[in-house]
Amino acid sequence: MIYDACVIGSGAAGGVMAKELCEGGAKVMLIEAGESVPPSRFRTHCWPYEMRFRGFRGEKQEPFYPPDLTNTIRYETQDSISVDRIRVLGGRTVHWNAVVLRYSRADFRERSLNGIEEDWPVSYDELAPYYDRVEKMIGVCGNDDGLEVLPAGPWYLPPIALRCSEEILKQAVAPLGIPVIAVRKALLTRAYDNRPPCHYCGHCMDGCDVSAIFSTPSSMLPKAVKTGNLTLRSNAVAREILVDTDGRARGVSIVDRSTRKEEEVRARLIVVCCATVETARLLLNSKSTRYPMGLANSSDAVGRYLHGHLGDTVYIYLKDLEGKAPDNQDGALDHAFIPRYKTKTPAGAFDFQVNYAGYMFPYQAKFLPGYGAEFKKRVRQMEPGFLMMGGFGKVAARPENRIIVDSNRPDTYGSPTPVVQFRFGELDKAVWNEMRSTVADMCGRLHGEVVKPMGERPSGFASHEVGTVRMGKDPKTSVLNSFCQAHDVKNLFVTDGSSFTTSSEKNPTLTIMALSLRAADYIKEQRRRGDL
Amino acid sequence: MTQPVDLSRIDRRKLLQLAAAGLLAGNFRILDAQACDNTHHGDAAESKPYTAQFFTAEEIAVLDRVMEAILPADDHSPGAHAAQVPLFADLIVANSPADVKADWRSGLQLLAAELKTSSLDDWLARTAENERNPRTVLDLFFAKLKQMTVEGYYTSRIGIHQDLRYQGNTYQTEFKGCTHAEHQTQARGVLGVARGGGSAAAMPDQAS
Repeated sequence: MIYDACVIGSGAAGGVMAKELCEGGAKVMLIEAGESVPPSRFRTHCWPYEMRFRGFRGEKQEPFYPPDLTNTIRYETQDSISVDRIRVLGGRTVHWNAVVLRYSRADFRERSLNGIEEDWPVSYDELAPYYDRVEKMIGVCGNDDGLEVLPAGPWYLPPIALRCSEEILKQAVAPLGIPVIAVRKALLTRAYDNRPPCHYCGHCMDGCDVSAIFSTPSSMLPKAVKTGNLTLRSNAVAREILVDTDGRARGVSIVDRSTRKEEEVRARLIVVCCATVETARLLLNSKSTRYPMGLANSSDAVGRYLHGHLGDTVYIYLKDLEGKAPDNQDGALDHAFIPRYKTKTPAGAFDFQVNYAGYMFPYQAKFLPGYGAEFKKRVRQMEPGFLMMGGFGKVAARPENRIIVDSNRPDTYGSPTPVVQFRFGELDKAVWNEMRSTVADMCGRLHGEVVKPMGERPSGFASHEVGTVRMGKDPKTSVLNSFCQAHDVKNLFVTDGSSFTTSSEKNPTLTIMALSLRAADYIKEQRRRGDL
Repeated sequence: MTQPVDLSRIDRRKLLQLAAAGLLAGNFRILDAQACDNTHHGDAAESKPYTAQFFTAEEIAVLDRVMEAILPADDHSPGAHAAQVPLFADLIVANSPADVKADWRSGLQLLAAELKTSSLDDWLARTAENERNPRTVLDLFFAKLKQMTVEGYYTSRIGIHQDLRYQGNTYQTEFKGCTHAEHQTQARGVLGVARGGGSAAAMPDQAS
């Protein structure tokens, strides 16, 4: 059987691509390396004492992080960075806070406006209709705050109410000109699209058991299945993309993780959606006489321009709330958001997610000095005053930061493993310092105790890594055109975060989905015209 | 085709009844009543009797004394002893690499020797003075003991429910947010009034 399309990876990009192509009448094979895990197996409402190691010692949800697939990465860097390696049907959409932010007009034009990096080959205005459609597809709560830095679409569900600590924050930092607005999340505050609303348990990151948060398996795959055009192959690792003598992609060599048998999936076009590290790795591992540098890599840009978010979190305990009776603060994790407000300087490219982690564990106990009854009482008293601010900052796309593959260290399936070579640059450090000084200003206006300040040196990636298979106008310096189609290989597309030309301080997922949807439209049109 | 159901106005029990009766449309999936129930999916380590795998009875006894002194029982709640934090420590260390095990063993040996000449209260008072700038191996060991005690205690039933009286991890039909007038910002006008998602009447009920 020759499929019309083979989509590799079932996360944010692969999910929307598979659904759209199936609905457009294409026979689609969707390949996922991880297992399909039903919501009944998520540990959404699990208490720590019900888990063997109570979540410590790197204890993760089984089987989200299978060692044969996730322990294969190596970091060659002196900076503190890491990427999330989840491998499960739905990818990171089953394990996320669902913050969805549109890039602004300026975010696509760094070269023109600031003289750094490159402009994207696609503009905000070209992408806006796709942002609109994606927001409608997945259901987004929030507001149109009328901010140039955070454009809005026509459809939002009601925002989530702010907690006391967030109202206090909003009041305290307003004189600094720092806005605190309702966050935009792919989370339902009322029933929508046959999905129930959020029940405010505060365990978004463990997988949402009722699918109130958007995920590929809950929202995209059922629609793809309904068309009768989808074949799903989970537990299958893509090893290599194979090519014909004419240079076109002809299929994917996959290994079944249970049987360890290798086979070829034939398809008329291939869409790679494995996320930034694994997508670059797959292309670099797809070498042939025609493509000795790896597939679609005549520019030598595959693997290069690796970037992501720098970030750190500050914990502060507000005196105004100290000693209050315990209250259910969980909600949907982050409700408030501080968008970028310093737009005149590139170093101002940062924003803050507020209270993005859970309320169950008293973080102050890890940082407060002392012991004994007084210490225990202090921990208890401070608990209601908890406020957490997570800063996310832009990292510049630079060619020397990259993924390479190491053939001397193959994985279980014989594939060369990824190596990350990365250092923060001067601009990144400037963003970090500006963010630290803003945090200090904000904390200075809050009546509270900072138990954990921001670190002195940049750290990050925060699962927001992008850029290793970038789009661009010039085939000599980029891999993909503005429709995420490889310059070198007409029937090869890459629609995940690796396609980003540059990144902003905003979380990438919504832009990934908009790009994937736009590419899907383009593919459907090309197929209709018989060009693909 | 299923009947329209206003899911925003029903509770969890009703939701599960509807799911069980197949009254929820297409891709809305509660595959299992447990899925959104407040029940256990983990390995209920604390509820099973646990025997120490790594520490000796003597070592457990020392841990028990020190950990209870770090987070003691008081008139508000039981302490580290009742929360069985030494057994949590045993589980963690027993499943750690050899160098971590060796550190704990030698730390406990040093501490046992120290406690032959000094009372526990005196040692804790002395070592806590150096908490920000640890000077000795035992000072460093105190940091390790405290970290383990904090992690074990505040992830136990006693720590979460009796001490902190944590109210979350439940099913709620709405989240009210802050309702206190004194916390509400007076400065809404400063940054403009948001066009709320709630007012976006055009939001359809179905995605496309």
